[in-house]
Amino acid sequence: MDILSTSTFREAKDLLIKRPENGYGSCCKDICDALTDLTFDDIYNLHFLIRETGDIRIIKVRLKNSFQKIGSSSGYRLIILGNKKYNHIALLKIYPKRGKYGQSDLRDFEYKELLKTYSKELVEKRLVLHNLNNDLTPIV
Amino acid sequence: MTGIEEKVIRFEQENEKAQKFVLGGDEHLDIILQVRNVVDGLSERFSALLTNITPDVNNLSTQQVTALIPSLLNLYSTSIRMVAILKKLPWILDVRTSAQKYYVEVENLREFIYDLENFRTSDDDELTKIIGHINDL
Repeated sequence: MDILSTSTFREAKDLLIKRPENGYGSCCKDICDALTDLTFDDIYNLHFLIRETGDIRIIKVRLKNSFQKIGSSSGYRLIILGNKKYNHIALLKIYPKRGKYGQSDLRDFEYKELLKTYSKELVEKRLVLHNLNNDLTPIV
Repeated sequence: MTGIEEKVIRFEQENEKAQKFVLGGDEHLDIILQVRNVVDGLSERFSALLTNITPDVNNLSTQQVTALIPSLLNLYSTSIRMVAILKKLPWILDVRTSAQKYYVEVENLREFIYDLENFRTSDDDELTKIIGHINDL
């Protein structure tokens, strides 16, 4: 199973890790820790299903923030899309529950935007492949 | 009643019992320590409840999710009452860390209900259409 990301995810992730003093420096490591060695079904069974239609599952993953020593309840929320047909997981968005960029929920129009971006970048082959064993480094 | 509902209702009853205990407490050190233990235990079980029911909730149909929401709202209402009780304690500073842990779990329950109501039970044609389009790619 491949781990890919959209530009929206990468922008959100880059914003979070830009300034370590904001307390989000561990987000790539925390994502890798949560997803490494998991199958589609593991991810589906462990995390909250937002929507499922056909081969597509939108899932919300609750992540710890190890940098701030915060558990998954108030750590990050990672929105992912599981696409069985392409055998990949796409990272769509990450946001923290607390701190400078803290957010409580994603609204329906935000989900729609995330999905439209994914759809566009899938067609244009602009989704970036990542290495979960190396802090989410892009694989070129 | 489903197994998930039973778990939610059982925890709601535990929550109510804990409220009575906290309300009856006074500012003696032993009571403060007991209240801390009760609230900490409640927060741990709150977190475990949501983790525990998530895989089952993932497998529910739209109708089953709709039927479950009232039980979750009852639990939320009971939990908000507990938050009010904790905030009004004259000795809140002595149990602040425990109270904050509890608030986090209540916020998680709110988020859980929000997601169920907005994405699992709503008939959002546009969202369905976008996902349908992705399926066709």
